[in-house]
Amino acid sequence: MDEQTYIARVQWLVLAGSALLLLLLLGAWIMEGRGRAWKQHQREYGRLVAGNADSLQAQDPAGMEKGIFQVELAHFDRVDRCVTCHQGMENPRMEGAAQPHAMHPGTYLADHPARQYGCTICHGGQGRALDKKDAFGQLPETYWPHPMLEQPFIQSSCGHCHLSIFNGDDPAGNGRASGMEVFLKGKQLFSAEGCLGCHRARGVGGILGPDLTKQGEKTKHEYSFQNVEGEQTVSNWLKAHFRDPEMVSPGSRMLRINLPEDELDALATFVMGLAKPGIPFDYFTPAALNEFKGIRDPMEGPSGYTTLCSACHGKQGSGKSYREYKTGIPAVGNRDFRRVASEAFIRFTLQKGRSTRQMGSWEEAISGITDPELDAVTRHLKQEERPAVDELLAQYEGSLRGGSSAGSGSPGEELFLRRCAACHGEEGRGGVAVALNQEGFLERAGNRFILHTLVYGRENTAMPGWPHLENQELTGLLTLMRSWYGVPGSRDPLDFTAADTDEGALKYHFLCSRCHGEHGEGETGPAIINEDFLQAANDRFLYETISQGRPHTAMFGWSTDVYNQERLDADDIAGIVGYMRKTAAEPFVYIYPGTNPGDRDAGALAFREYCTECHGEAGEGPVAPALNNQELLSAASNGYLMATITLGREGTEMPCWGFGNGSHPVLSGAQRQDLVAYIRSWQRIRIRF
Amino acid sequence: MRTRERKETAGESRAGPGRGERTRTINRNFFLHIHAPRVHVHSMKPAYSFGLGIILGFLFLILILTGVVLMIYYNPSVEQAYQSVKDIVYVVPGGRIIRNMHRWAAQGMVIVVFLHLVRVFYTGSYLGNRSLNWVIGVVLLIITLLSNFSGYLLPWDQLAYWAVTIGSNIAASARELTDLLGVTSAFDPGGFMKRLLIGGEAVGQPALSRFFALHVIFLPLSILVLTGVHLWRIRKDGGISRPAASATDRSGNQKWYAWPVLMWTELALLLGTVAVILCIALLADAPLLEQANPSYPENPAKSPWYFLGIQELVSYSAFSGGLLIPVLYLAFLFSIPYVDREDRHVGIWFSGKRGWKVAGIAAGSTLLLVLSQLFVMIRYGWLRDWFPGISQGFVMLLNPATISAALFILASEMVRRRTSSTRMAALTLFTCTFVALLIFTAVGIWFRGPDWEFFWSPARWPVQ
Repeated sequence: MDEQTYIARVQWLVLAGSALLLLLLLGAWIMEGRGRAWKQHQREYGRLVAGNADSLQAQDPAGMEKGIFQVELAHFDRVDRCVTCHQGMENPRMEGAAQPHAMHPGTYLADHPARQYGCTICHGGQGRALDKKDAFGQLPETYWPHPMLEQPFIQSSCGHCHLSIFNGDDPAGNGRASGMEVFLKGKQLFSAEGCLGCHRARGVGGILGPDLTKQGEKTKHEYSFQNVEGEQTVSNWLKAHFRDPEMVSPGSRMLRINLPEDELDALATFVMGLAKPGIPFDYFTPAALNEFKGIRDPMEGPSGYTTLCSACHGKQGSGKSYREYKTGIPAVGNRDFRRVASEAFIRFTLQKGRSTRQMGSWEEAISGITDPELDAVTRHLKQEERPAVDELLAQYEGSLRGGSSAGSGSPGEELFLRRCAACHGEEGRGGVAVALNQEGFLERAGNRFILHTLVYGRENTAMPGWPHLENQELTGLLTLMRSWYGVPGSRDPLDFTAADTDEGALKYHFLCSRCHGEHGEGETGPAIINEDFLQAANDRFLYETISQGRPHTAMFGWSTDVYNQERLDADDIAGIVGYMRKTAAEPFVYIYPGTNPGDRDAGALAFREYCTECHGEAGEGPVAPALNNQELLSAASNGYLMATITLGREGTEMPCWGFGNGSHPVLSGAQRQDLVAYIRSWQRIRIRF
Repeated sequence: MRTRERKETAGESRAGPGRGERTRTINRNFFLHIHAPRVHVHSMKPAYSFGLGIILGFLFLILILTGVVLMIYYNPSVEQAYQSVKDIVYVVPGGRIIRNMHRWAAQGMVIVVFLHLVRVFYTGSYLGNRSLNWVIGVVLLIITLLSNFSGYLLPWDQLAYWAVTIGSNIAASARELTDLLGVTSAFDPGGFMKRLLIGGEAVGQPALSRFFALHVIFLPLSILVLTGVHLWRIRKDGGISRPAASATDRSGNQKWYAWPVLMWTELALLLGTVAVILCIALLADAPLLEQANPSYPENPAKSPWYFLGIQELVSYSAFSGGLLIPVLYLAFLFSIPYVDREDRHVGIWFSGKRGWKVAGIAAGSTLLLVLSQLFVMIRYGWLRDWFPGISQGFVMLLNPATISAALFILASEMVRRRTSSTRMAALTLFTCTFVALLIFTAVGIWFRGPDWEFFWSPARWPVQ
């Protein structure tokens, strides 16, 4: 080949190359110059404006500004160019026009001027982008972590600034909440479903699940979609997770949330709104800002229960069946629990949790729940409608005047046999509980004392309250007891206000604590320092019981001559009573278990026979509450255990062992005491309140 | 002699300017001066050089021009880098195309630089006086890779961040050996290399600043200077390589004037290169993932594709894959012209028929050897799976990379003894290593998924 042929061939190549290059450059020029979507939109908008204009406000489309428009938002660390295409956003004439020219609906722009807020802070999407696909950022190939949000999930954006979880329901602080109805519904559901029982948000809540304070800031890349069907969006992940947490996140212990689809949407919207975005603080509502600082309205008892407890213990306190769930949850809303568990028991459990169980501690340092709030929840759990003692008294006295008699075969007698004899013995002669059919007692105990005790029970002892009985039944019981030993003499009340309680304290410790326990929790004698008892008993009753003693019991009269014993005069007794009243009102360090004369070895046999089926060999409880955990044993007095065994727990599988119901054998008082002794023997430490 | 002169005169009359003027055109112009006034006909054969060196030059030119435009808008700070790239894509007129061209020209340069290496080796162009130029060429190849790698980080997106994180970990490969010897706390060359590269233990602003400086100043300047030397050496060596003239083939010594023959060829190559790059740039966008997020690793985190062969080797053993093998390979490349001095093979593809056969057998057996080892490794596991308690030292010494390398060296030594030709031995070793590199790179690119597990295609990766 010679030079000329070579050159000729190469020249053809050069020609082809330059033609191709010219073509490509032309293509590039058209693509980048004329073909950009935003330019087409601006031309279209110009035509729309020209077509829409009436004679007065005619706008010359040629005079309209063209080019890339942007809102620079240094305080939000973003640049929004959405207005380049959405030029009609603030033009009232564009109401109802086709996108991208339509006016922004609603009054949002009045409160959130676009110059100051931009668009993406609420809508999501990529503000810098200038074509629809990238600006919406919803497709995976756009690689944008904050895709544009659709209804209803866009309402989650309101939450970023306006959400206050605890400080009321008025997010904007001006009485308007239009446009965020779904979000607010989600907030209600968030409380109603008890999410904060396991999760934390803004420093409040449980520690079983992850902290949700910034959950809404997570992008979809931070979720695993391995087990999620459908589109890969955060909202879809959340909804799938609510429906079946363990399927979506293997290993999750979260409970399923059974809600209709629209409520799942609302809940997902709310969770996506949980955020603390890095924007200047003056964009947050004061309520939200206060919550970040830890200032919030206190929770009431019922709302506290719903928010913190209901996810596990049930909205009505019915618990979760131990047979259905791997970790059953005790029922706390039923009558038997309310009348057997003392406030101290509930409060202690809230404070300490149960170390071997899911129940965590709700101490303020851990949960952010204040003491008054825990008190409120405790009161809410313990709350029950009780007949007024005064009313009962009047009714009883009225019935006396009416001359109705209460003897053999009366409703009182039958009721006593059914309800009381298991502890107090037949005809009240005494059993594992104190004898009632006893002159010394009935003479001194006033009607009010007896009725009060029946209605309220006796804290931390095996005597529960019976507020659910009919008024006639309660007065019938009193009538029955009065039929044994007649009416007490009427006595003037005493006044012990000037008593020397320091001296009384010494006397109590030297003389009374031997039988009644160092803290009056009961040893061989009954529990006498507790609010229930001291409210029921007036000073005269106490004085006379101390000075005269109780016949046929170890309690002798301290004002009488007893061999080798000190004699107490009226001032001494007044001091002791004063001390008892003062001490009962003070908070205590431990919950003292009180007396129990049972035999743990015999109890072990009985436990194996009757209890292991549900409570497990060592009380670890596969299908019933665990009994061997130290928090329970520290919270529960022997009386609590005794009462629970005796009465069972209505609405759960715990049967009533004191009276029997046909399906279970009846355990004698001694057997039940043995069981209590055996259960108590598991206690290794005593936890301070 | 007389005939030739007449021919030339005839050519002149058709092609325009006379002989003296042609030489002057080349010599007077500073930029054209790098050409010899006359080039050998053999050098103009398309199927000999494929114009790869010239294409590299034009790709570099595209990179410089587009790079300067990008540099005007780019902001090399961790906070702003990603945003400024987004602005280049969305707002700068033609910015998207310019960025695409820069990206694809850079990728193209890596491919072409390897092809150029292959061409130069198989035509024996390192022989004769050209050994120094071969060494400069290999250095230019390394700088091209570094240049590309340093540019990889600049968009500061997830792809960039994790690729460079992996790359910096490869740089720290020596740690596996020092860890094994228990001397890392006292002597840590791996850590030193890593800190030197990215200025810390993790990729951050120091890494970005370093990479930016390297990418826009140091490395391009090095390429420019070394390319100058590279071209100057070509002139000194009498143009690009060609077979020694034989007495029988008279056209074997014919020369054409660089002006206008070479000029037309170069123009065609320039237009072709720009057109191809522009075409790709219009069709395919350069990747830009989410902004870099140090708390969410990409899985799999892959280094740039041209390092995936090394990453594959590193997955067997960091020390042998990331340091030992690459160093051996570079040592081999650098030493070729000083070991093989059989100058008679210069300018002949594969040095004739025997070379074709040797290279063919080498390529085939490498394919078989490497693939069978990969099959065993993927299907049945390797030492660590068979003997869980084994010392890392064994894995370091016995893995597909080291075994292959040892066998390649053995094979080339065998070939040297059988043929008593160093050229054939070099041919064997070069072919084996290059085919193996291709296989490992291909596996790294297409067949490795999350946790560096084997997958037939990315479509089978588990959903993240």
